[in-house]
Amino acid sequence: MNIKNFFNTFFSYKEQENYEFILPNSANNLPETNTQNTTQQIFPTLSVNIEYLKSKYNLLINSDVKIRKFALPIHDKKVPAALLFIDGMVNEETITNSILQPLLLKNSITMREQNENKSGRMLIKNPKSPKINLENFIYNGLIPHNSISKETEFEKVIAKVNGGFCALFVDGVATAFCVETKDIKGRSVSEPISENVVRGPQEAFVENVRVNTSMLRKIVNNENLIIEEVDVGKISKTKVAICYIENIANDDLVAEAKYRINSLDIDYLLSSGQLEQFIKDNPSNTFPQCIATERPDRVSTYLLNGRVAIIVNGTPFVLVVPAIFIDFLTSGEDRNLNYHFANFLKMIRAIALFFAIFLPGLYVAITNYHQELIPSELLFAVANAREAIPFPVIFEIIIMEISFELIREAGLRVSSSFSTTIGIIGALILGDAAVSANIVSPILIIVVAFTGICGFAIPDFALTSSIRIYRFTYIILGFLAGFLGIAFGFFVHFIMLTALSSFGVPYFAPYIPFENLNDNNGYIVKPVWRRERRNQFLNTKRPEAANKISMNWRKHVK
Amino acid sequence: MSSNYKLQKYEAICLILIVMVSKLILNVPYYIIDLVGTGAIINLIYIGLLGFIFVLCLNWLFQKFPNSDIIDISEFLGGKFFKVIMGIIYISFFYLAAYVTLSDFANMLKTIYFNNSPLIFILLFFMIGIVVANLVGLKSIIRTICLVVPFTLVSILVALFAVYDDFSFDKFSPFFGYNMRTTFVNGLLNTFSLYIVTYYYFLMPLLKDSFSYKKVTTWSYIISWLLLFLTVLSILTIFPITNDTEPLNALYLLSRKIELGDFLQRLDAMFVLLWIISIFCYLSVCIFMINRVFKKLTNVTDEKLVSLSTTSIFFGLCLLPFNVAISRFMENNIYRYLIIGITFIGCFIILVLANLKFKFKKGNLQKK
Repeated sequence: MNIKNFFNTFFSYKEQENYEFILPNSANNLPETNTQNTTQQIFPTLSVNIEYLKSKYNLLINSDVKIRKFALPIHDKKVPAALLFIDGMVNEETITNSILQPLLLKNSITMREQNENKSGRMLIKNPKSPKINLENFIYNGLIPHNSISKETEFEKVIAKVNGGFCALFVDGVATAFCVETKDIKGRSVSEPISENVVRGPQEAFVENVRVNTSMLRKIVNNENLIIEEVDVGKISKTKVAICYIENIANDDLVAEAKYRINSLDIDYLLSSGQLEQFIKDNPSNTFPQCIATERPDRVSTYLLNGRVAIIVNGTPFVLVVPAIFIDFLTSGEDRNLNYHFANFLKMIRAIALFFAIFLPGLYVAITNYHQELIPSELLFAVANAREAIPFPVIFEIIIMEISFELIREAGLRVSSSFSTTIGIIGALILGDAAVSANIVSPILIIVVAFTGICGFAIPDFALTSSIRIYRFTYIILGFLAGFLGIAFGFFVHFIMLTALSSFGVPYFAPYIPFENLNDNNGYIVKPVWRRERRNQFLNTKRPEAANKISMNWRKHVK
Repeated sequence: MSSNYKLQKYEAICLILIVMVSKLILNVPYYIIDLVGTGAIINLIYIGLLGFIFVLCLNWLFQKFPNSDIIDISEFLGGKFFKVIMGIIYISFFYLAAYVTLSDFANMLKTIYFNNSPLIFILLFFMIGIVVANLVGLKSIIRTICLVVPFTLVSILVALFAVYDDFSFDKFSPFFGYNMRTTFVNGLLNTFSLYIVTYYYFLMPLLKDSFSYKKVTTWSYIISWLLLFLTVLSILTIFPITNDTEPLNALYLLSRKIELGDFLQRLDAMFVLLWIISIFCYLSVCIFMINRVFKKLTNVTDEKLVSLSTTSIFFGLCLLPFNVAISRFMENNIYRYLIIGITFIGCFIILVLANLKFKFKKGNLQKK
């Protein structure tokens, strides 16, 4: 063995065998007939079409898909026809009044009148006659409905039927007529649940994408609002609407949003939360990178500032991109309030953010390593309160934080009638029994409760969730090395956060990298008459949002 | 990874300031005072002016070499061999700078807070932080520095001015220190405190706009010098100068004197918290510079690998048995002379020679 072989044998890199997960399920062996895209053209023969649809929809076992067969009376002939629709998604009254009645009654009446009126010119002698175009005759003359389209491919027909349309197949015609008859039951527009405001609109998005887009149209009220719709998911074909204002939003931003959504190769998409994880720049980071809001007024504001909104059918939370860190500390109400008060609230929220992340960790670090920071009187009080406690601080605080999280989680999961009970039990356990039993000190209760309240003061749920995880990390780091641990955590945390960007915009814009704060960019809310420019980091097509002097009436004051 | 990230003016100034801040937090003000006594004020003004002239010269000398650092200029002057030599010198120099800083700071932390913990425990935190920072890249390091620098500067200024009650201007006298010769001739050794100049040799290619080099160097120099001056001034007015003064971290001692009423009497830990983050930033910059020089020498493309390797070597260095006395000796007797030798003499000569070569080549071309 020469030296080269020796090195090759002992030191060469051998590729690791790939780990392959195999689910022991025979379903893997089934052909993927239903998930593949069908580009089958519609057949001219009705019976073949029906057989095809029966196979596609598994009609032997599928109960809600209906095929209504009937005979279409045209002149003296009965042409076989069939309607395909999904029960529960369509308005039966519309089907009866706008499709079946005209086809069965009006058509025969028209024929009879035409036959009786000998002076009139007969257009239809025989449906099989080459002179007569049955497809156009039905499309133009027999269905009195405003929303009707002709489709020649099964894929498109099926997509429409799945969305609440009704498809009409006629024997001898290789086209299906898709009539909009949708009547999908959903909840009506109501007040926001997670983003309550005192001064501002009191309506929230619902699960239906079309209702949501109409709410945006109502507020934006401009023809440049573009709502592009795409289907995401090979199986679910979930409707996703990408909204932007054409003459404001940056074209590259819009293209990037569309590219990310269109390139998703997934079977199903059920919520905007899932979509957010698919399209955000750094999925492994827990900090939110898209704004998720249920307020149409907030989304409209973002759209008018040049951002892109993404609505997913079935979710009342609309995504807005790009998102920067300060967006998550901004409430929908801020712009409606006097700027002094709005800034005061924002300052409170910034303080809340700091305490929500660091307070328990700082408490552990100070009590373990930096007692000199605590003023003497307070130090005596803390020491006195902890005198009878047998556990170390870290144990105490972790017990309390986990209890708090448990109560919070339980309060969310149970019905509202029980949540009050859980709150009372939690408060009793946390506030009284634990202290009486000398498990925790009263000062720790104050720390945990204050941290919890600070967490609730942050307007964004996703940011709060992220903070809840990091809080535990800082507690452990504070315990391990006091302020050194906290500083280490902060440094690493911040290094990670500064690497983040949302659709090309740095996460800490406009502060890091530093930009011109005169452009209505920063955390501080400017007076409404000074909001003349749109966010610089968005590079919008219209940087100016208002005239230099927006209050023209003041010009005339003498 | 974002090693190709280019710095804006503000970011470049912050980068230089974090270097200065790390020196202020450690013992640089003490060494200045130790050498020239009460003459430190006049000495600082003197070396500050000399340093400023030096920076202006650097600006002028770098005009011919836009987008080049000292390693590129060495290659231009002496070919690849000279480039490799300069690269190795600078890698060793940055390692030494990081080692001295970390050992000094870790010892300080151990003395103050972690008497019972082994030093490796403290070092590990720094190592992990540096590895993460360098794996994520320059962009994140710089952005973190931009956040940290304003707070650190404020903390230093607060530490300096919050103790104004204890200021005693009598401690300035004698104004010229031990004697004129010590203050003005021996005191030239205090130019090592202007260590930031080393980074000016590497700044040019890192800048987004090479024309802003002059502004960045000038402003960062002025702010750094002011900080150094204020720190030395405060220390001089607070602490008595004696020959047997222990080399304690003067800024930390200052911060211990801060009292806000009767309620908050010991806020030093809050300052230490900020300074630890600054040291994290500074060490990350050091390792970044090592990576950068190393990549220039070797053309290695795998940034992750380089980052991990350089940090591992640094960790190994830090694990060498050392104590406060050794680290102080290195800082006072080796590091100080290395800065003066490499930064203020060696590299300056290289730059001058490179400029002459540039002129000579240009002249030859014009003749042809």
